[in-house]
Amino acid sequence: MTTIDKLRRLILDLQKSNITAEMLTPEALFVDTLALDSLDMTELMVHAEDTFGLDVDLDDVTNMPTIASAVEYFDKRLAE
Amino acid sequence: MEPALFAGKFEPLPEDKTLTPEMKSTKAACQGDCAVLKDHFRRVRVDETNAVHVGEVFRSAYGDDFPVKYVYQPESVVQEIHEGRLVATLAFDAEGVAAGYISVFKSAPNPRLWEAGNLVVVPAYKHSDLGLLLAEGYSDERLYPKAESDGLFNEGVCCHYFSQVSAIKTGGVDCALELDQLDGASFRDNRTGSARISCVFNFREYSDPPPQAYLPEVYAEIIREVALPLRPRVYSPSVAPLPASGTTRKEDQFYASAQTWKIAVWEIGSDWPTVVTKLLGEAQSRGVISLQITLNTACPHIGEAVRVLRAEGFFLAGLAPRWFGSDGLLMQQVFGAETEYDRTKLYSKTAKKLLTFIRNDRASVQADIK
Repeated sequence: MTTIDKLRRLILDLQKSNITAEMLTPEALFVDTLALDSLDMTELMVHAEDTFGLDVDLDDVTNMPTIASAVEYFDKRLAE
Repeated sequence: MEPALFAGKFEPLPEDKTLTPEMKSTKAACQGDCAVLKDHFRRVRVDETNAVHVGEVFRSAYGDDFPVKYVYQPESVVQEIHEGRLVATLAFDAEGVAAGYISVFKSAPNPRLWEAGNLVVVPAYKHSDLGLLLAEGYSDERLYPKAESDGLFNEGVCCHYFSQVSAIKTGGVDCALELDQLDGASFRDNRTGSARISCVFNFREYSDPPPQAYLPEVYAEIIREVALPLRPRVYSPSVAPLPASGTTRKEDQFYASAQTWKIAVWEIGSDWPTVVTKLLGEAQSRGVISLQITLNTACPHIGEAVRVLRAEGFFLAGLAPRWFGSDGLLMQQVFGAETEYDRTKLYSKTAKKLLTFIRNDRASVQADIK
């Protein structure tokens, strides 16, 4: 499973009623498109840490506005 | 240039001549120290000139129902600040409207401890990263006088991860797990829908602990493990019986809305078994659900005190570092429905390990009573 597929799965696992699979494009903005708040972003971060086996800084979370930027972040970290 | 209140990635306030008209109007709402956050939020220390906005922020999120009532009264907020019990900051948006609030305040028996809490984001900015930006402020030790402090603690709820993650990612250490401490129905952000909400006690330490402390044998290993990331401590085994004389000295805080009663025991006297019996009776008449007793580890009799508590159904919650200046050993009992463990969100490995230990300890004391 690719990084973006894993992230899409994690976002859907949040079980937010306003989010459909079709909305999860690379350009989708976590806050403006998907309406995730700080609690949602933190939960997503926790599950992403478990999935990818990485520790994520709070600073990094606030610098990932889109799904594409999150994919780029995790791919870069995994390559290190 | 005004020094930035907060270090790290937040930009210092520019010289007046570099401010845009938009930023100038926001600066006008700020008095004293000020710092720019992402998306043009500005974070300023609360004082007489802006304390009225504190109530606005809480009212937008909680109506008139926030249990700490002084937040609604500017004069009371200022009094808390002037009397050294509260340090607070407000975030303003580019239009100069109050958008969020964080604070540290004194609530523990040890007056040199600060509690981090009451982070609020107004509904208009709920779907932004302002909450995360504000949470990072707790790690800025210019927010409160660290040099005069033994430490900063917070009790992160287990119905979501935000508070726990913020605490861990900014250098705190998880030390205790307080089961079913809060009422789930009255908690605004209860994402799990549980009837009661547990809390993780997280701590960061700013001074060296006293040189001597005691632990009961039954909890020595787990407490030493929990305390390992903190400053070095010397724990001796508690082997002394209860004292032959002397009166137990304690203080307490009763949170009626949560049905939670917290008791801090400074000194254990010869009357300890009677004290425990009376506390249990009073807890029952008050309808207490979460009963917590924190024992002073400076007491050599703590081992025997714990034996008496366990015989009455109390089990471990964990360590409350520097609760008395010396550490506290936090014991708890929960009445009523069984804890919804599967709805308890825990972030750190320590918190998860504590839960396993506490569940076993709880089962053990209940088995011994039957």
